Amino acid sequence: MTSPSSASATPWAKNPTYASKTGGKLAFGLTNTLLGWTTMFVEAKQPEYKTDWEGFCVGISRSIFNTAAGLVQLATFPVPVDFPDVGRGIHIPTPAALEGGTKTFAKRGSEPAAVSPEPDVQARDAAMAEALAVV
Amino acid sequence: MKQLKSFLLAVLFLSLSASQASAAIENWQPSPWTKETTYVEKSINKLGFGLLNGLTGWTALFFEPMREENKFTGIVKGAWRTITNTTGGALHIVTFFIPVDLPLPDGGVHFE
Repeated sequence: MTSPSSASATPWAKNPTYASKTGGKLAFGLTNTLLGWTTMFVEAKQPEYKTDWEGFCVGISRSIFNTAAGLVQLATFPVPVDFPDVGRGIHIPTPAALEGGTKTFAKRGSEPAAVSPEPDVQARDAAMAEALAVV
Repeated sequence: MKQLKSFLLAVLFLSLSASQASAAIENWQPSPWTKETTYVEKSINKLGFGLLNGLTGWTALFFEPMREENKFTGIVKGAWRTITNTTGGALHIVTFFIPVDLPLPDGGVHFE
């Protein structure tokens, strides 16, 4: 039997305080319990599968795992202990990621990319700094 | 005792012949989930592969006669692949938590 080579921690595990960890764990549990079933439709469109049917069938399996992972985390949310072996759960892009121009889902297993400000925002900030320097 | 020995030898001989014959006529390929690196990903993909083959293994009955030039060969091959894909899929589902592969002919069902 193969042991997990790289267990992926759930996102809330990086939070520093007890409140933020349990809050994050509760949110993760609720999201995955209620929306875990949607994975089968998202998975069907992933480019790694030759056909949508293959992705859909793996998606059914992944939906079961995500829902089970959500239930486990929901039931144990007051205890800030992670269950990394159940995976990252469903991928819902954050508003910050959408604002930053990354409108696609993050690739599985990869960390979300750092959001860099838009070029026009940088130009506006530079103009503001210049105007303040003149004043 | 002597009869039992000859029976066991006959079973051994037949099973060896059958495995050699099936290896000669079928293209047994490793399942795609074996490329995954972690235990969880292997389990998820093995269950998904099992669902795909278990639920859609019967489609070989229609696809194989279309692929083969000789329709009779296609029907026989389709019936054989239906059995192997469906049974293999069911075995993958039942053993999804054990990351041991059960190769299927041509890597199982693929709609291409």
